[in-house]
Amino acid sequence: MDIEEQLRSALKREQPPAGFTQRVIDATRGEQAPRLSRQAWAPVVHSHWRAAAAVLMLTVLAGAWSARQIAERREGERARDEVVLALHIAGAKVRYAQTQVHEIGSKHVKESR
Amino acid sequence: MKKSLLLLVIAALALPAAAQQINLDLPGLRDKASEEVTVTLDASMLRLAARFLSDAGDERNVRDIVQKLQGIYVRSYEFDHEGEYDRSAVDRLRSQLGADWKKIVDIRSKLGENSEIYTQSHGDQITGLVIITAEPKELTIVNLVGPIDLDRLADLQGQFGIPKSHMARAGKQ
Repeated sequence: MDIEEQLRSALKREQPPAGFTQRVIDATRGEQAPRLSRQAWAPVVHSHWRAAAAVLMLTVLAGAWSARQIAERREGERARDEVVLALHIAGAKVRYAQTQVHEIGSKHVKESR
Repeated sequence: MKKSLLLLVIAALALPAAAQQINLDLPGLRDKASEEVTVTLDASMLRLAARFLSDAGDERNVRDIVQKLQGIYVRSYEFDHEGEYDRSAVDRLRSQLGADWKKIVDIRSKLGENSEIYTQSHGDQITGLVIITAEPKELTIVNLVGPIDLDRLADLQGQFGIPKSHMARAGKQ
């Protein structure tokens, strides 16, 4: 068989098998766009939730720390004011006593002269 | 055994400070007073307060005094009229002071302005101080717990920058 005969046989038009067209149409209708399954999305979704939870937790911790700092500062400043007030009162009373003692002492010295 | 020994040591350490502290809360005074100043600061509050005292001027002196103290307790009552408070309250205060307390100052005036200063010492060091000043319209009790230099305390002057609002607030407490 020469080459011309081989080509003619290979390119010879053939009828498709029965029901071929219908099968193609059915296959086209049934085909859907490729979708990622829930399991495929899970790592992406989980990592987002984890990041959000971490940010939320950090925000809460930072807020609590900041509130604690503010409360501690207020308490410290109040304690400082009270210390200063208390020592002011104590100092004034001791000074008054010292002055009285000195006055009484100097009176006695004058009288004895 | 170790635990009970540790408790014993802690109790022994706490006892001297407790002995220097007296109960200043006398019933009845608060209700009659027109103005009241109440200061109750234990060792932890004093440490906290010391952190907020600056290095400048009087605040530095206050900080130096406070750093050694274990407690500051003040009650000061002002009354609208003379004789409005029961002077036996002072006796109740005195009765709390044991034999280890020494009266170093006792000033009595005809006008009824009396001042008493009691100290408790350990060696040459004053480790506790009680000041009682009883005037016709005012009663002030100060109790300092811990090592105190009286001269240094007397040198503290002025308002030390106490906010006026706080002074007013403390006065109304």
